[in-house]
Amino acid sequence: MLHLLNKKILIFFAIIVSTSCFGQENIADVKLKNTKGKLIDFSEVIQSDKPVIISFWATWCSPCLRELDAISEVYDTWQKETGVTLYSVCVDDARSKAKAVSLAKGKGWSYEILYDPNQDLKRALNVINIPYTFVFLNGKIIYKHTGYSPGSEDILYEKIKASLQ
Amino acid sequence: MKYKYSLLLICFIATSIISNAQKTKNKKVELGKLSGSVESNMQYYNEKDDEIGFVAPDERFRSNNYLKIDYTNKGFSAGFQFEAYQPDVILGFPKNLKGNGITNYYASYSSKKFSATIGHYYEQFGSGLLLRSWEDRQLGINNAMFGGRIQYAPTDALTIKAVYGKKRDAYTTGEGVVWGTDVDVNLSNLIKLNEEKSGTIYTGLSYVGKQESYTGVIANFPNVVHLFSIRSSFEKDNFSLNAEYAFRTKDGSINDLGKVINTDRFFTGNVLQLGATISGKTDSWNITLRKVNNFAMYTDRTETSNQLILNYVPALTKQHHFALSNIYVYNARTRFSFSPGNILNSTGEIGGQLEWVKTFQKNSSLGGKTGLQLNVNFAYYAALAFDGTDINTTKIYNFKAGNTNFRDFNIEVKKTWNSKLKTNFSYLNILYNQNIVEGHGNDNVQANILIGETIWKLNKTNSIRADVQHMWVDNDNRGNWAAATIEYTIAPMFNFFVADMYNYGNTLNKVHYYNVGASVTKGSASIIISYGRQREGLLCVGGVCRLVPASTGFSISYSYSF
Repeated sequence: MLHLLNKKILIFFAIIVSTSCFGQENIADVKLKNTKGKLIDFSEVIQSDKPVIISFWATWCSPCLRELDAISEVYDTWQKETGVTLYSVCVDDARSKAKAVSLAKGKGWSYEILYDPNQDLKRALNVINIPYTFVFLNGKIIYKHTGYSPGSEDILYEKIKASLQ
Repeated sequence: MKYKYSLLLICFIATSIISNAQKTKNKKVELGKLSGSVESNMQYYNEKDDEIGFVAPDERFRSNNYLKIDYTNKGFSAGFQFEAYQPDVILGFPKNLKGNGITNYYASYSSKKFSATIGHYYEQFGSGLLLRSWEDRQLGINNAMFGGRIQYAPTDALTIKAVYGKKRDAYTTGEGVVWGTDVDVNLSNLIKLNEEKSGTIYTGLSYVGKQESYTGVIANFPNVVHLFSIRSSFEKDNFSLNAEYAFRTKDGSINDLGKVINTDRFFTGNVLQLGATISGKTDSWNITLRKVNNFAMYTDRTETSNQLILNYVPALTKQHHFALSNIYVYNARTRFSFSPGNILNSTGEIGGQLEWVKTFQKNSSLGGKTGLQLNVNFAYYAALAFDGTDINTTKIYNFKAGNTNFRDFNIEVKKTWNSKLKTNFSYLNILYNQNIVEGHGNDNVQANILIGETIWKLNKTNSIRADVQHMWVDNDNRGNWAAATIEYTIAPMFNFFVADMYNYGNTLNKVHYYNVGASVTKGSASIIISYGRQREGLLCVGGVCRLVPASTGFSISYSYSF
């Protein structure tokens, strides 16, 4: 048992060492459908020279809804000040996917929704738990964060502004 | 085992070299990119907990660990997933996962129009009614296909897929061989309609075949089952409509213990699903109607667990996220089910769901100064009717509704009072046929749930979230429940929480399900430590949700991606 744990620790450190050497972007070659059924190439979405927020959510994930509600209140200002665009990637599967668009519209969100019903993009970007938010600029990840707590959106916005300076 | 660890270490060293090389070499030399993730969930169980009748298993420390590494270089990618369940699986996970090994590996190539994968892959045709392979670590599900897949999309309006393989089962695969093809067409684009004017029409066709040898005594037992589906959707402005029909050929019947029932009467299966969404400026309606008759399948016919699932036929009800609203959860009736003695007790279900989401805007009469959000949802599912419980003589009805399986009416009101204070109020009324869903108990459990939640932002980074919940229950011995949670958060890194669910209405055993813990999050890394009693349900901590099985003890979860 102890012997096994030692090995695990060794592996754990190996992971830390190797990961610290490569923090580069992982541009996933994934196509997702939007609410109109059109296929959107993810690698093209993130190529913008304005910041692009990719926010993973689901109808059953209340912190996700809180985050997108909070950003929705200030989204107009964010867009005017930085030209940022938010894509909300919905990982609801067939169970709740149909309700996602009506929930978003009823809430008055103006974000474009991309469906990831079998988690192809979620897997490609190595997202483990949601909410999970990325900021891309010119195809590169400039910020990523898992989880949401009230006030996280301000920190997200500070990162976006800082990236443009 | 030693060999596998060494292999892993070599991989890591290689990755470091490659990535370092990338930093130092001329940028034009593309050596590809590495990415991946690590997740570890550990549990240390108390020796025993008399109050909930919990006795620790032989191994009190258990952990489920996942390491995923992907390499991509232009159109080429390859990767693997290593899983370790040491010294044993966390309680509630499939026992055959115990041990460790490289469970998934693949290589794939993709260009703009064409892609091909060999090894393990995840796939879904349409909504998954005929074929879905996916991973859900919280549920211990990983039924990746092992074999090959090709995809060809000659234009934006047309995608054709073909797959072949067996499904992953722990460290091996199932016996059943699966093949299939799916065509997805944007009709309006293909026949050059003006989509702005006439709307967009999509249609899709799927076929899946499944083959598994049968060596029993029943004559003409189907070795091969064929599944077909057609789906279509129409979307214009703020209106959308969709329909899907699926059918499968005759198959033998399996009882709930996974034994083939000795009869030469074989049954087909089908699903019909209709949905519509209408949205206005500040509100939106969604309706779904569905009928399922004997359709959920495994690639290996005698399987009864969460492994080797061929297709995805989920419950179409609202997924609630509070502790008490996750006690009476509907599980769709999607295949024949038999009571002991092979007595037929379910053939399928028929029902639907309606949801209305409305925002009362600022300065409207209900919205007040800051606006108000309303979400109303209703779901009803009945059993499909049948006459007689003997499989040889029963008469099956295709559209006739029988007893009620489940009904859920719920309403949620969210109000933002000012930049510091938000409140959320929910009411749920649930009718739950415990006998049908769990196989025992009352067929008319009634629950009424009230939930109040408040989020109070103290300053820029500090906030408190608290909820109180109560559930009144009729026709279940466990009786009433009360629950409360307090969470203190320092954004974006720290979260501390205390929660309790109290089953005070239980005449035999009044139990507190308490839980206390903390989480730290930085970038893509997060660690959660908690101690307590957990009953199965969705637990959301520090903004991360997971489904946790029942247990008493310490738990630590760690995740990181790169």
